[in-house]
Amino acid sequence: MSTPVLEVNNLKTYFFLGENVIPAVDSVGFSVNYGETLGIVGESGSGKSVTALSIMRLIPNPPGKIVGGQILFEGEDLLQKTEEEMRKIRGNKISMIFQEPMTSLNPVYTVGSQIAEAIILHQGLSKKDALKKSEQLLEMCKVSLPKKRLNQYPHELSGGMRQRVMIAMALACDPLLLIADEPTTALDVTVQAQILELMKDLQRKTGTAVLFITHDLGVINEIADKVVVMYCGRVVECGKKEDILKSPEHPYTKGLLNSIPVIDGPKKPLRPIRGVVPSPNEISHGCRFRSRCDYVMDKCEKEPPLMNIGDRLVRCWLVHNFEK
Amino acid sequence: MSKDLLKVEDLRVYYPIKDGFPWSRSRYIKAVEGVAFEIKEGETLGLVGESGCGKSTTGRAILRLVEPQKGSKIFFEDQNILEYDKRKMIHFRKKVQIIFQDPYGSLNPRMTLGDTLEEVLAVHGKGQPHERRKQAAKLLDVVGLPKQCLSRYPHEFSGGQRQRVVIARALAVEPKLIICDEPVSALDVSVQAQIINLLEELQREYKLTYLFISHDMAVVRHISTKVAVMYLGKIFEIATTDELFDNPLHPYTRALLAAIPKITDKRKKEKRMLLEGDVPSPLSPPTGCRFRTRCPLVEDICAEREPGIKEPIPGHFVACHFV
Repeated sequence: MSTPVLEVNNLKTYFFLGENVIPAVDSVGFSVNYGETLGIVGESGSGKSVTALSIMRLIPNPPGKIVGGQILFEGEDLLQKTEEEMRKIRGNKISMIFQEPMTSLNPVYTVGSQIAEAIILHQGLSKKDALKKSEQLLEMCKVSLPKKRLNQYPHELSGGMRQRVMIAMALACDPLLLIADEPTTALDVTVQAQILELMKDLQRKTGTAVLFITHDLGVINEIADKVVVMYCGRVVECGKKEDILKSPEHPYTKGLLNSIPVIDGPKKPLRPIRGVVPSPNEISHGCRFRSRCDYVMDKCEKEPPLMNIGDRLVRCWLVHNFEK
Repeated sequence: MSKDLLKVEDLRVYYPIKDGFPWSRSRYIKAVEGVAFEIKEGETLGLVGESGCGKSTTGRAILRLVEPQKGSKIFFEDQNILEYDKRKMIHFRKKVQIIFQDPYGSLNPRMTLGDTLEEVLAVHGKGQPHERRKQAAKLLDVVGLPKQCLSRYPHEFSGGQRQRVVIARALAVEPKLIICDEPVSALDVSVQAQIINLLEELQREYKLTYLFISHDMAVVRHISTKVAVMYLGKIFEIATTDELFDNPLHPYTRALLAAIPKITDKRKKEKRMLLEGDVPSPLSPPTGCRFRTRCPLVEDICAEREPGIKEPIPGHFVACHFV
């Protein structure tokens, strides 16, 4: 049994907007083992990005605040660290890739100096050595003409190339954990396939654990080992990728899978989830999914706990009934 | 056999680029370069491609929201609409409507839904003024929104609901053809499925014809009867949906299909076909075949000559030297 590199317990991140308290992330827990890829999937507003930012302690405060829980990274609680200590961890042991590669690169610095910055800061190399290492990193990320790229600015590169630069930068200090927040969403499918292939390849080589956030179940199938399904700030289902995609237990996961048109095989009617995602402050009690659930019952007024079924976790009373 | 509702021949749309000097020779981005297809009544033609391939420009050109180059022909009900004057165009737009991707940008934030819908009816002279409110309520009902929404503003609605309003607005003039420009791309999957189902229902009920523009191959497969694949302003392959997905002939179509992450792993864990590099800039497209810079089958002939359209299987058109 491998030990987890990251363990999130009971994490609560709330946003305080005037009199409203919005529980964007509410009692979320999961763990990522060394060298493993955990996919977090959910629709917009489900709290997946806020979870990622909470781990990095990058929640803008105010209005946001982590009000409870534990984030154990290599056994140490990140929530107890000072800002100074966090700065040594970010970009070093934990690094992050964002969705929009143009806005996450600095437009007025060359690619080379941006990658080298992290290396100089965390590993104390000289500028010359750092640039040499940057070149190797770009080469590792299959950027063509790495030497030339070092002196180019982000606007000179295409979307896919920028995302490769972001990955090179994230891997600069051999992190133990890489958080990727929708890294391929802004890219075309053919480029997305290249980036996913690259990430899998690099993970095999470096053994970095990856926390991969996406709304696309197809991407999850390509890259993840384990999956966490989030809805309205809650984990509703969590388990091995094969189990969840082949035999989902939670009505929300089932609904998501039934909403997606299939690309291979005969056409089947889409069975969408009815209604819309409620805003997090609309639901104060009970199961968050009950306004859209086809199996809703009286019991759903009380929120079900996450229940263990085999080696997966499901938050639904239906499953509880089957157990009995 | 139903007849062609829309027939596009040799459609070209160029965008001029200004580089600052009034005396310098004007250059053009050839966004759409010789596109041809036809849509029969009641059909859905799916137009797929990556960003920058000209699929949206094609959609806009059909409504003359961008003006095509001379020599292009767009026949709607056997009349070339590019010869229409302004008055005839207004009449034409009663029959052809468009739905855009972004439901936030396509509704006026300062108008209630009722005002938005009534305006369309008024502009096109549909119904008596005092009946328009009722008609607007009916339209909302058709797309599954309660009539209480008439007095509310767009910001009070979610993306999916707004897209319903945009669809209602398009239906207001009882069009024959609706151009759907990425109508579900900005929506979450569960809501996306609702809108797709709604579009399909409306098509059955009102005998609508769709030109469905999307980058999502799975959605296109679901909704279309025929599919055209575009790349850098050209159509590479066009066939009925099942034919195209079961028997893709063009290397680009094959690569595109292979690149899509799938939920079900039916195929074996084969090494998948990965394209190298990015889409070249449409400002200076490659000579010969436009796909040759990324094509796995590339040979000398591809740089010399542009492949013509062939029909190796009846109804299945493809532009490649090696088919």
